[in-house]
Amino acid sequence: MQRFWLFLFGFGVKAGIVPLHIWLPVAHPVAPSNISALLSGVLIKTGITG
Amino acid sequence: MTRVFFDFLGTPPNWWGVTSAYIGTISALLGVLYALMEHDLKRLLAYHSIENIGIILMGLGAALMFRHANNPLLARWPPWPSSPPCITPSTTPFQSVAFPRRRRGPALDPYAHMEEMGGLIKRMPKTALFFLVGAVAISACRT
Repeated sequence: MQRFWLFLFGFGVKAGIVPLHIWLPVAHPVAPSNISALLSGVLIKTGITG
Repeated sequence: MTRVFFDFLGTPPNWWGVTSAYIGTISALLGVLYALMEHDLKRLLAYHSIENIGIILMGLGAALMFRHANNPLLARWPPWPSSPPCITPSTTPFQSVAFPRRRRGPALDPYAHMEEMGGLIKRMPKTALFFLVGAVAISACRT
């Protein structure tokens, strides 16, 4: 029970699922664009892969 | 999430899958609605990757439900949208291709708003070609 929610919350912040997504639209415009491409392509998906 | 839910925690109860699928649906819907409102290209792509995560999470939730129902064949099928060999080619190229347009854009036109961009193909034909490929990929060829 708690395990599921804790893992969902922890990985959810990294993956950016909706209630926890607020850091993403802030982080993207201030990142350099080549880093920004890696940010959305690779780094967010590591939250899903876990 | 995939590794913890599938490899470490054993057979999941049904509501894990149901909850994941619901959260994924909400994330996909709200992500694409936010993206529609957005005029800054980078913020739009950020919201778009939120929507992508929602779609992936829906597949993961379906896989958890099939796994709870002891259906290993179907359980093996839905998580493949969330497996690294699939999501990396499906999401990385269009975003990698779409972002350099924003990077090189401000050097030539100082606008962040998409409506004020334009005439890219005259000044940067190669970037325009790659951006077209990225736009096609972001429109249809996902997951």
